[in-house]
Amino acid sequence: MIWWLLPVFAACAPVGTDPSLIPNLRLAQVQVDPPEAMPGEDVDITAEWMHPRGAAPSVDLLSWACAWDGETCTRPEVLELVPPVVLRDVPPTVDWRVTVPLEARDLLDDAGTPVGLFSFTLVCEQGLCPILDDIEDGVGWELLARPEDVVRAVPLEGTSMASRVMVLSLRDPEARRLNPDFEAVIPAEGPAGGTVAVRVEGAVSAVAYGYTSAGSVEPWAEQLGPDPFTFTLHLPDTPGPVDVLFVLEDMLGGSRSVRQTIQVR
Amino acid sequence: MPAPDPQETEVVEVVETSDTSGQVRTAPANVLSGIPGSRDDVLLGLQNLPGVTRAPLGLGALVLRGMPPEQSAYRIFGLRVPSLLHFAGLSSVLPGGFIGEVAVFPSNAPVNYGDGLGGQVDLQLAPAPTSSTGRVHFDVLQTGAEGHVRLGPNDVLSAGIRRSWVDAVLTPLWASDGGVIRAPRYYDGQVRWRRDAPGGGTVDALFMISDDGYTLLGAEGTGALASAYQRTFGAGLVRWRHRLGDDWIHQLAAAVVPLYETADLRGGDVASQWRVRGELRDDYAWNAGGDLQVDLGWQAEAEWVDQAFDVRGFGPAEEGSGTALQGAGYAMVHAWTGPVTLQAGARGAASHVVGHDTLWTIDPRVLVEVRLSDVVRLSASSGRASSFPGVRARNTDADGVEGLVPGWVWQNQLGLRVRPGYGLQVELTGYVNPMGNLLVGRQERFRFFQTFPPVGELDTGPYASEGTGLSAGGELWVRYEDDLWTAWLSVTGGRSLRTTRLDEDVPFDLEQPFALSAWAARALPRGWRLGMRVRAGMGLPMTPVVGRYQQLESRQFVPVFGDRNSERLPWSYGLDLRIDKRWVWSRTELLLYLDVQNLTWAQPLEWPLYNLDYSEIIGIRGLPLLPVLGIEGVFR
Repeated sequence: MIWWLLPVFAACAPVGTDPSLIPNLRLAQVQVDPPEAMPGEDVDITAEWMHPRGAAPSVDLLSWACAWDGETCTRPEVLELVPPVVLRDVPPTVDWRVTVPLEARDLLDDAGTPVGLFSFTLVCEQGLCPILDDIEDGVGWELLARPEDVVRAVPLEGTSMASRVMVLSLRDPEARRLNPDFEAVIPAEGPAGGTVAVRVEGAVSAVAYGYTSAGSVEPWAEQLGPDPFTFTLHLPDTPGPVDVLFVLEDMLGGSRSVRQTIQVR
Repeated sequence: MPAPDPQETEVVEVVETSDTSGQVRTAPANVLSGIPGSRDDVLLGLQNLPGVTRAPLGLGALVLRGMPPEQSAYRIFGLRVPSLLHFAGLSSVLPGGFIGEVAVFPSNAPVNYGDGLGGQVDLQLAPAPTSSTGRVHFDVLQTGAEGHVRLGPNDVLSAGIRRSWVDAVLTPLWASDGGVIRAPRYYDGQVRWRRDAPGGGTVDALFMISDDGYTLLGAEGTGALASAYQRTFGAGLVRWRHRLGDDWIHQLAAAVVPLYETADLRGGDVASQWRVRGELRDDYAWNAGGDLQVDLGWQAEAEWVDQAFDVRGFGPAEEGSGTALQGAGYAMVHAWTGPVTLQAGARGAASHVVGHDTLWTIDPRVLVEVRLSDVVRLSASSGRASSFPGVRARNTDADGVEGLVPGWVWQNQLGLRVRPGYGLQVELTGYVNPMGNLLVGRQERFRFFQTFPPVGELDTGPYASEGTGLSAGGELWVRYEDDLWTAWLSVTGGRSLRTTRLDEDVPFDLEQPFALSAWAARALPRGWRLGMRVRAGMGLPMTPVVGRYQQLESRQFVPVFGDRNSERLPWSYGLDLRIDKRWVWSRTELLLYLDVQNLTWAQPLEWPLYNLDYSEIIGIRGLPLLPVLGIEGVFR
């Protein structure tokens, strides 16, 4: 029963454990809008990647959809219906649109029971992920059916991958889930070594998370209630821009984010 | 095999053959407790024997010749108990005054031992004192008292109690901004009655209880429970040993051992188990002539198990109970002819899970020893040991399956022992132990792990007897003792590999291909004694994290593992020091000691704990410098 001590040692190890600080290239947010769609409908996907304070790398992106059981994509036809997307040299906030094909109706049973799909998105510093070249060339798609193997095929450093749940259904638009409402008031500037307050207001029972490219956000996560909540952003000691992102998650796949560059003076 | 009893010299003679090269390793309690870095604890000293792998964090679980700790059996005068160590290996469950000698069979135990594929650790209680004795012990980690009272010429009543201080010492150190941690707390109590019957024979009864607890609270001031663990077990052990006529020795022993273990993780995930075990042993030794001895015996066991596990991340909730009945019988012949000693026997055992299946095994074992001279002995032994799958795996009313078979290991050993004199003894041992029918499957399920849960890709399929393995290596044990010096050198080298449904020939999770322990202690004038120990060991295998992705809904990172146990933790090194002084008066004895563990403050990486996004190994590191100051008083 030695492993009961794990939390003990984890609690004693502050190094690298601030979840609000972005220590390396990180895909911090993928929003699917709407989070629940029907065949034939357009879906807007927005990805937000962050990196530690300093010169931004050139980043490429790969995104694909998958009916995933935790190990493999159980419905290979999804990849055919919603082909993977490769985008080159993308900015920190990038969006694209996919259309759910009408043939996706075949993924649902006769009763039209909603089906959960996963959207996987991989960002890579340029040149680190040859798999993107393969996908563009129309080869190597079978690897996408095993998302963990995609992770194994790329280096640990300079890459970041995330999964997002999206729902395919036939429900009426008014019955479908939407992304939560969210407002975050982030100041445009702040003092070096000082703090600024970030006021957040949004859907009750959703969780707000704060990320920063330098300094820290306290607390990192907070379950929102009916009243606004104020995060404290601890700014770094040196002047310059700091990239700040606040994300609201309803835990069901719905999300929304607010991003701001703060000038530290 | 019972160890020699100083009060029964005739028994010593009968069982002497067990002391063959490399088969059993024995050490008296006072030597083990005095090993530097062992914190004056007898059983922690066992980790200095060859063939014993140092468990992660040095926390005491015994890994014998590359076998998991749960496959080794821990016994008190031959009767099985759940453990001989408190939680996290902080201390043994019996105080030093109750322990006489510890015998360790890393493998190739005689046929009167069964249960498990690993080794056997058999603890013999201390001989009865010649006069009433009291003992108090106090150190930084624990305090205890024991008394041994002579109730006439034939009876001795002993009682002891201990309570740890470690929680009071460590809790303030471990308290952090993020939480309040209560260090492990343990206590134990013992009552022993020994009667030497006037007509010969001995009755020895031991009743003991051990209780361990550990709590981790959440944010300071909230009092919210983050995790908690408790293990309580008791043992009632009775042994009657006597002569039957001139040529027979009979030993009847019985045990009742209840165990309760519970864990509350994250303030809501609960796991608990009850195990109540009863055992009856009936052993006979027949001296059939000057050069022949026959040992016979049978055992009966019953164990009731009730388990309920509902822990997130460890598969679906699981609940079940069942009873296993086990019977075994053995026969063994010892023959001496000239310089050759032969020990051959077989053990048959059957296991029945009530309402389910019945399994059986036959394990033959043989040992030959040749005295090449007064100085040199050569021995070879080969034998099979078996392990029945537990109730959980065989209970088809819960999650078990039919058709499982006992796991086996074929243990082969060559030993050379040289006693050139001058207090020097050298033992060299080689072993090759292939294994088969090992239980695999349901790796994701919760169980009360003795070390760490497995990581990497797990075999989540139904239980099956499809694993194989091989453990092979060599050991060197050099001992020297004279009036001033005591010194040991233990070197172990070996591999322990497993093949399962997922992996082929991967290192066992606790495989340590090389380990060295060297210690020496010297008596100094005026009752002083100074000792030092050097340890070095190759790191345990680890399954690397080769990537990760983030589940955005929960913001949790999910690690993606590489090949199982394809990398290894760094080597560990350590230097320990012990200095003690003993004062002896007519009726009182006082021992003051300082045991400094990890003098060089080396804190090797013991377990690859990662940071939140798996981009960096934070690691669990070994204990820092740990000085333990203790005092012990003996009053007669």
